[in-house]
Amino acid sequence: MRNLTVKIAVFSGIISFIFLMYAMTLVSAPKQSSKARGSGCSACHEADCKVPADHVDTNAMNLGQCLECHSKDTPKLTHTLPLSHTHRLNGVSCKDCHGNTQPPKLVNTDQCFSCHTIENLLNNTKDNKEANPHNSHYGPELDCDLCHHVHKPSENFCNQCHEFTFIIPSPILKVAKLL
Amino acid sequence: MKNNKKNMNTDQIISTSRRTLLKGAAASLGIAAASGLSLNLLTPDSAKAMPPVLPEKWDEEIDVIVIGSGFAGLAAAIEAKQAGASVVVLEKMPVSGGNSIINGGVFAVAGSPKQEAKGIKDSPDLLLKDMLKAGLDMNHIDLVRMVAEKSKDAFEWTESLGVKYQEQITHLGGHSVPRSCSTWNGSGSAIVNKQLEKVKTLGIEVKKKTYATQIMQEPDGRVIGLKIKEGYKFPDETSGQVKYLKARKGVVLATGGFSQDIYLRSIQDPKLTSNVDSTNQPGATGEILLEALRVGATPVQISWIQLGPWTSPDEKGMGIGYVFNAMAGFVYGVMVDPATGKRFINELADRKIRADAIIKTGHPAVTLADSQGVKQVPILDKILAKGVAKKFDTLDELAAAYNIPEKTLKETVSNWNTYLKQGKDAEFDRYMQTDSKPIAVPPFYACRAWPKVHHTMGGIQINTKAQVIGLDRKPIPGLYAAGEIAGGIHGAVRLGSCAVVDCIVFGRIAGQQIAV
Repeated sequence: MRNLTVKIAVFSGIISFIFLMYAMTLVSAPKQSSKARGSGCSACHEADCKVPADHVDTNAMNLGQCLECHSKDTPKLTHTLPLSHTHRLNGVSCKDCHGNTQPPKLVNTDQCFSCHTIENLLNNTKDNKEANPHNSHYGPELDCDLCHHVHKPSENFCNQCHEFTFIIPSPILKVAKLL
Repeated sequence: MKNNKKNMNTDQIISTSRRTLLKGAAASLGIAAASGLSLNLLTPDSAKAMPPVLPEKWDEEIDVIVIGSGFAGLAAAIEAKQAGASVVVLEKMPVSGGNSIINGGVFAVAGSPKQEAKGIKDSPDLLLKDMLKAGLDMNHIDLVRMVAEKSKDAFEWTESLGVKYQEQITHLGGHSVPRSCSTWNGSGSAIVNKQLEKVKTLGIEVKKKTYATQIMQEPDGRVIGLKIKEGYKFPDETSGQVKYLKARKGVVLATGGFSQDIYLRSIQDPKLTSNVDSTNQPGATGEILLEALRVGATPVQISWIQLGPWTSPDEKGMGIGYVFNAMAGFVYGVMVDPATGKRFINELADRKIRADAIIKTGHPAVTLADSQGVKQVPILDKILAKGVAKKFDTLDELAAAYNIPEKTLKETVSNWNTYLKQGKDAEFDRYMQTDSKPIAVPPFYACRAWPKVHHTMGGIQINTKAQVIGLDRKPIPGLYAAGEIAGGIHGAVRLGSCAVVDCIVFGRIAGQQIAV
């Protein structure tokens, strides 16, 4: 009998915990607005805006302008922002990739190559001491989303076998120290 | 930590599939008992004891379906297409090439022009003899003979696809003569990427993230297609969309081995739990092997699982430490048990003998060589920088670092130097290299060795036409297999550089035969 009471208490505890976690995600998850500018944080993040109140106005900025000041952030700004944000800051809108349809079109690698070129990618990473991930034993024609995720943290696909330390842009690291 | 994560993932897959298996079985039994309906109609995919129900309509039709995009699968696809069949290749992972594209790129060729140029006498018969010896004569001799006789032909076929090889020929353990040719980049990717180019030229589609879940048969046993999942995200069993593909001529199984399938491999050999790492890519699992057994393929030597003795426990997977062990420690140095400081096995015995001996000590071994013994190691700096091998000014420091009794370690080294002078290893009769020098000139280098699961020799039975043999001793119509999933070619122990040749030879045969 006592066992049963304990079980019920534990069970209801677990249920309330799960509910609480769910409720928290509803509160903390930013809404998505296709009309927001990349630098207009508050349009989506509302009260949860990460930019301090005394920050210069970001509304008309692009990524290059952000990086003019944030050149020495540890970790880098491009490692703390999701890839969706760096795209937006570079003037790429939601519909540029996802189209104008509802539900939005799924994005494949060909879509990435409508802007990015293999030559540029190879060149950008050619000085990587551990390996050039864009020219590995798999060749240059891999799907981008093996590593680069746009709306969630990026990952290092190579590390399913290797133990590389280089960081793929936008792993969405926690902001440790700005400037 | 990373290893734990990987193992945990695999364990999760196992427990998930076990759970679904139990849940599915219970549910269908319950419903069947209540309604009196046939079990067949209600049994979920996971309860594989029941034959699947053929779909009312196939989503797509093609002549030949090849499962797997490694050496064997791509060779089969190319041959079948060239023989006039329409072909599709299914690959469950998000990248092509399986283990082949991460393989070391060494190809055993009996009687190559490279050998002739160096005055090395070799023949298919000698390769056959070597493979049988290492295989403890458990090999299916007609299959080994096929590999030995066609090794040169298979090698030239890869050259015709544009694969370039290095000039040197390597003498690997267990071979009577140097006969192993290395690709230009020391990786199987040099072969796979040329195969993929050919596949593209021929207009064969390689469907990645496409997981074959069931082999579909007619009531008479003929294999006529597959149930697949498109958009599968390994290892999420719930991902992907179900489709049915009809194969007018049949299906080639080229799915590789199951070195990364902790559940299946530890059933075959209970020592190989999640505590043992593997050199393979994470997709090297055995679900298609089990599916082939379900449709009645004959199992062959499935518990003969090879561990590579040269790998390091101080890094993940194949890593790079094996280069030090294979090219310095085992050849110009010695391997000791750190608990005793003594040698315990012939460092150049075959893979199984060495791996078993290391495991028997209960802990990683330490291999060491001096500054003269490491000259053949091409990436020594990289291995040292990674911390997998270490450098010491004295043997005392080396002994202290690995907690080896220094007195016995020095005795071991001095004994080896005496054997070298006498020209005979009095303890283990190890082969002496002609250019071997005493272990004496500092700095000294050391690396730990702990075996990892590398190759599964066993699999399903095939004949020399790559047809899968059923329990009735006859070929299962429409079912072919090639590469690591096929058993019997290597018997108890596979020799280094004999996997590539096996895959290319039987992959091509499967493609030619299925298209007939």
